[in-house]
Amino acid sequence: MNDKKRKIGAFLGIIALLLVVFLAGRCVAFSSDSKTEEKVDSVSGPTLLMQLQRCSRLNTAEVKLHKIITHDDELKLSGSLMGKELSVNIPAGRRKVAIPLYATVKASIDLGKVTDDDIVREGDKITVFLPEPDIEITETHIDHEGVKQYVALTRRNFSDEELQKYELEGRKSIEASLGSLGLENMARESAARQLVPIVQAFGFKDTDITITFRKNEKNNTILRRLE
Amino acid sequence: MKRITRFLGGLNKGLTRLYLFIIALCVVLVVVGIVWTCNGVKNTSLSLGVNEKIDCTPNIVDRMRAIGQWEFLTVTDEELIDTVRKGFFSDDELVRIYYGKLRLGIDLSDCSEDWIKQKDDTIYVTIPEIRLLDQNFIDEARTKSFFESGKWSNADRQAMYDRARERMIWRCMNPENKKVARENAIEQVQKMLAPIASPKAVKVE
Repeated sequence: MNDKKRKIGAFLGIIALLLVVFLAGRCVAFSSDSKTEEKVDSVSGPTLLMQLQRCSRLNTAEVKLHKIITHDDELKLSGSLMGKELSVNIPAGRRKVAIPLYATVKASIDLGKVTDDDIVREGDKITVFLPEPDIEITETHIDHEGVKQYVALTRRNFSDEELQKYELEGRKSIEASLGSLGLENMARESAARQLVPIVQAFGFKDTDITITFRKNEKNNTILRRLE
Repeated sequence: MKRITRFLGGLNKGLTRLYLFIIALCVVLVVVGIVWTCNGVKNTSLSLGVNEKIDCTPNIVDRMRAIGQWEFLTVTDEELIDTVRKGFFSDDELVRIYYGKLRLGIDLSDCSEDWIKQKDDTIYVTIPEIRLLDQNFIDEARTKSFFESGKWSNADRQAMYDRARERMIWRCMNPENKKVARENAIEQVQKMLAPIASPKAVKVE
């Protein structure tokens, strides 16, 4: 009987010793890591894709804007019980998030599409035909300090994937409203303001320079004349 | 005595019939209840769900301005950024993929007053140094969350964004890319200005 007790004691002792060794090891590791809690990678980490594209674009107008993306996420029990429709909000099952999203939108003229035929000279007068401006979102960023979250006790925190999904929706919303920003006219006028002094430097008078915009490459209709 | 016995016998029979009736009624009610419940359970479907609707406030325009940036090289970059936090029992990790588009070119406001000058039959065009046209180039709203374990704060995400930006600049703004952009700038400016200068020659440097 005493022998059995001794064996059990020895077994428990070994387990306790192993546990102490393991915890001591973790403590040493933790204390060394706590100095640099976040491991910072070097700048030369892996890249997924890098693509170069030669171009000739004149960015002529820029707009900086922001919007707030909100999501109210309430846990709901719904369905049918004994043939009756049911929809009940679960108490303390609410999550809310507000994400401030900032974006820069630029309008640019693709000068790569301008050919010799698009620069027409008639005596002292010169006309430059340009393609219509393109508008695109050039960057977006989140004001991380301004992100507000409320998560009820019974719910889990918003995951990184969920937050990304909301941010992408916000971007799509900006993309859908690009046409209503009124950037095209500003881009055309700004293009003329940028190009006229350049043409003037070649000896043309201000009044002899005409900058016009084509609707598209095939259609040569003059839409607008800027002097 | 006989009368009492007959009365009690009748009463007993009546009570027995009443009991039988009550029992039968209970059985019928139980059967109906079971059938009704089974039928109800068949039609019961409950699920826990959340509202997936995302709302956005209208666009607020902070600034609108005319610019003059001539872009000659666009570098599209993707960077995998990860961060690890050592824990007592396990490590937390967050991995995200950032997308950025760096635009290299010249800002016309950087051009000197005599950047286009004529000498004899040649027009000399001196373009300024190629630079990154916009310091903000990451499309953070398109970032992909690749892996997440543990809880991460907004400050952690900001730090990752800053690292992605630093890495993209380090990788894309190298002398080779600047050289490619400059060569293209010379070619494109020449192509654009030659018909305007004709019959004079244009020399871009």
